[in-house]
Amino acid sequence: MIRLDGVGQVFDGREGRVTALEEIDLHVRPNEFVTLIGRSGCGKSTLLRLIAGLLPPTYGAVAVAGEPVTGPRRDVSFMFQRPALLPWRSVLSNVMLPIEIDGGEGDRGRKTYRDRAHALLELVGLTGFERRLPHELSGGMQQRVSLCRSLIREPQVMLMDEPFSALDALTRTELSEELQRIKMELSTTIVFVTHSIEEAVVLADRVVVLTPRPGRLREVVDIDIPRPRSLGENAHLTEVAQISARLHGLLAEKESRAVDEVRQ
Amino acid sequence: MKRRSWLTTSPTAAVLLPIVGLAGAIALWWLATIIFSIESYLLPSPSDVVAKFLEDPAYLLQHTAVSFLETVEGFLLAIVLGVPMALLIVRSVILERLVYPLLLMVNAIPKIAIAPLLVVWMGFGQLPKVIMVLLVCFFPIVISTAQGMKSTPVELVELLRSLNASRTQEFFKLRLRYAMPQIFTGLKVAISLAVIGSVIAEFVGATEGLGYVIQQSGASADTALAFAAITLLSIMSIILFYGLVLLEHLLVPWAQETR
Repeated sequence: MIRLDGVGQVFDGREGRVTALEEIDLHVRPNEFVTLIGRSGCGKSTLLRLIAGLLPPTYGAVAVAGEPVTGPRRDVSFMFQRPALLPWRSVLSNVMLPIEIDGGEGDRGRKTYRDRAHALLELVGLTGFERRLPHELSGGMQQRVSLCRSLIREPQVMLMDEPFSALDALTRTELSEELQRIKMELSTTIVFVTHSIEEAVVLADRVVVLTPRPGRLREVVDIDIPRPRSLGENAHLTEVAQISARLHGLLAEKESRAVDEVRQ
Repeated sequence: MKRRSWLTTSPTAAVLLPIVGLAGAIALWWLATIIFSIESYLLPSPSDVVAKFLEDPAYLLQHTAVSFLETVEGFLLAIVLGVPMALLIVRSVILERLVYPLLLMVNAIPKIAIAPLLVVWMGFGQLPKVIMVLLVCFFPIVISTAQGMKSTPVELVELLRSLNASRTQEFFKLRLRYAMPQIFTGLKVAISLAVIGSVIAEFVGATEGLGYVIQQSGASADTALAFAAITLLSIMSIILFYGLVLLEHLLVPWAQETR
């Protein structure tokens, strides 16, 4: 579904050239849930933006559904760390924004999408809030609206950039359960960036570990814990904890290696 | 802890207090004219001013209408020209660098210095007054609109990009809407300046308008008439300002809560 071949990204910063990503080869299968973890500054958000077509890679090839990425695609949605809702628009109207941008809302199309928007809001438990303005909602509810907005175009691929990181722990657990449920119902391919190891393990079919500066693929870990998974259920805690510990090791290990490299 | 007083919380008090303040000021003024027995041509009492107005209300109101029209026309013209100008400035860095210093320069010129020139160029009619109002209003409107559009959060801009929105959509669906509260801040500054602009223009080579009336009353030492005209000017200014505040509440109801 998503293919990255020898992708690299170099930024010309004020302090010279910074290599954000180097030699990334990654193949995400259709309907797969991949999480990207790494320390801050390892280029995981950059990687997501390359797939989204928000940023052209310095070298290498990025392809979605077999086509090279040249810009944002209609069947790829992007979800941000913050809800990014337009403050003057109602919940429903925020969800409908992508359709409005498409301009393809004939009377029939609008009706179909409107129904879809209502269905999505129901899916995340926001029925009855359609006409509210964003500032009237809690952070978790706002992020749910944002989730609905990213689903309205029926995307094949969802790219999520630490979407739950600004939320409190409880809301975060709730939302990650909801996301798994939605994923099972709608069958989309998801690439999810996070800096929380537990979150990465609970959500993913595969966890991709990136090393920082320059961002490289460190390891890809398969997660075979049966779904639906939850941090709130004992049954999964041991397995999640075991894998988390291993990932912890991986992330910490290259930190010491980086220190060695500096010493040499 | 002390309970918050009725005076700070009640909506009735919010309306009542300004009226009390105004009445107090007028009472003081009145008292001063009586106690110090000030000559009417130096400082007329409030009753003198009201009497002057009632002597020939049609005359003053007609001149008020003239000033009002000039002010509003110039103000609207400034919006019509200023908002697109801001849009261009935000859109193009080259244009911003090209035009911005020029705008600053024009804004730095004391407008009263141009008033006679405008008369030379455009005669004694309404046009030079409208242009004067346009000149004083243009800058604050352009600046506030441009600032507002530039302050659009990066993630919202990126969102629209990720949705493959066109530049036009980005401006109309996002930047312009996002700038609305700041545009209104600029408009409120501009409307007060607009009234000043029209009066300045009427001081020089005019045959009607409140500025003209004040000028004439100065020549004949009719201080009460000048005060009546000034009072009408302030009332006009207040009405225009609160008209904008009302419009803001109607158009940007989301802004009060989120900022």
